[in-house]
Amino acid sequence: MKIIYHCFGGSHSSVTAAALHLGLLSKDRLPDGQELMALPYYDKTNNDDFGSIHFMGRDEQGNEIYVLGKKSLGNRFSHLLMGVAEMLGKEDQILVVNVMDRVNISMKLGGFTSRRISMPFLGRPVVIRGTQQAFAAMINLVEVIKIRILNKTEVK
Amino acid sequence: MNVIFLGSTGVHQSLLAANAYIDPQSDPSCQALLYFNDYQQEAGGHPIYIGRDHDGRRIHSLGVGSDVKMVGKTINQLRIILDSSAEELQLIPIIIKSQRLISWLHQLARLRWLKPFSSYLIAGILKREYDNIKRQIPGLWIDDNST
Repeated sequence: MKIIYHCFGGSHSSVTAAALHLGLLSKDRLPDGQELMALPYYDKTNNDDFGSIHFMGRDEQGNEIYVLGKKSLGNRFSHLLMGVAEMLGKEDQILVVNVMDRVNISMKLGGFTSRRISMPFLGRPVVIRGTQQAFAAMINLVEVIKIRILNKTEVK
Repeated sequence: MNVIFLGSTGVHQSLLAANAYIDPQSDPSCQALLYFNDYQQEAGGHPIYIGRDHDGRRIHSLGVGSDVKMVGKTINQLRIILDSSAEELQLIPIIIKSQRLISWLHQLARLRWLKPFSSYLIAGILKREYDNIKRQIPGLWIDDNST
């Protein structure tokens, strides 16, 4: 299966969720700033990356994990991508996950300051702090998704 | 083979283009079109199936917000990671100057009593933009000055 985690910029929350899914971050403790910055794409994307589906790795079941920034398209983006997959007859091969509802105000403000107005020295500490605050919610989301994948593959 | 007409909304300019593509002789007055200015349909976010063209290809209309090019890029990349060939999916973006105004007027259609007013205004705008829309449909536009 292909799992696409998407958020506004494809730079913070989706990357954190994908990293948790792949085991690049431990669920047992809060990651520090260095660990987060070591993740591929974390606080490193630019305007050209909007709409690009970035490959993050394969999980232990062989599922391909991707991240995507979709600007402010909201949850309709999941329907849109699932609709296109359905059109191609591949809807059973894909799971699209909106991470935006796990994002807090610090992540939004920090992410905006660091990526959109290119002031990482101001925004990065804020977005890292926000990611740490949202970490438990991200773990929860990834656990839910892993159960959904398990159910989906078992039904097949 | 599937063809998707992409617009900022799926129930206005891209819907009109998809219908004109299937039947170039169709009436350009769009208020009679199925799903025209349909708020619920648009809110769902799914591609809208319009019908088949003369070659049997399935024609759809899809609303993707203001950044049509960005979503076009995403859909193409999605097709690639799903191992589908380019022949299976053709994207035709329909971009018009007044798409932001149309999106705004479409919000009025959320209220049932304002929908006829919203539809009337949007139909008027699309009538003015019809030649521009037709120009973006492959194989449809014939320049009147060329004859």
